Amino acid sequence: MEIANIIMFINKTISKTLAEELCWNVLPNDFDVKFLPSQTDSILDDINPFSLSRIHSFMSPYKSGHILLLVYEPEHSFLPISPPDGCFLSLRMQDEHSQYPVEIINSDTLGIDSSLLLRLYNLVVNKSSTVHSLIDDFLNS
Amino acid sequence: MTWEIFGRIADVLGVISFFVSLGIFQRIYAKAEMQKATYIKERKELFSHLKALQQNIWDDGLNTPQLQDALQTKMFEYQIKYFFISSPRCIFHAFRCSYLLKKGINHLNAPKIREDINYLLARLSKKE
Repeated sequence: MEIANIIMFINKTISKTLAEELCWNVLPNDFDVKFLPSQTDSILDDINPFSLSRIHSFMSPYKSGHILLLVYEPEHSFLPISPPDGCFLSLRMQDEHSQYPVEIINSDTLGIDSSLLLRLYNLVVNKSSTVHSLIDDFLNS
Repeated sequence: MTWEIFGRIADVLGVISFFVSLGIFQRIYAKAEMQKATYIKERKELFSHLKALQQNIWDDGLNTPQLQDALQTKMFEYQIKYFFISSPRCIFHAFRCSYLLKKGINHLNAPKIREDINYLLARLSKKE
């Protein structure tokens, strides 16, 4: 994606989240997270491997797909992790029909101010409806 | 005789003080170099976090205790990590901001807190 489109996507995500047009929930354990072609549920780095943290990640349904805000935590950390500090963030979109998701932006994307992704994460944490997550979890149990 | 002894003691203490001062200056210099290396490595991350928090609180209207705590933590982080390489003006803004945040953000202290954050963002945007 072009940089201008990425910035527009994030800004739209932020404005839709503020307007409560997007309903963010904590990533359920049974949700099928599709990974990028070269990835599994961990980001491989010989020095500092990161693994997906579902309890700190969020998803929002959008039309026939989902927008995912994934948080990867360092696997070998001596101190407790408090996202988004020390974590790798990834904003993606996926649907049921495509084999792979599309990654819009991550913490390492060059040419884009990473404060946008952090701003979105803080916003989603505050706006996500934990009560609705509990209700969904109860209905699925 | 007595004054001679005092004089000799003062001479010896003066020499000892000189070497102690050298040791202290060397420690401060080593600490400053370490903080400079940390600054070069972590400057961008702290800048991003601070800017994101500023936008969350003032642009998004999320003036929650959690975000205020996160902002205060970042201020403390700046003070602890970069004290020896900060100018007096930077130290003033960092300490004033963390002091004002103790009482929470309200309409009275918000302009000063914004000024402090803006200054630190400007400082963090400078590469060493």
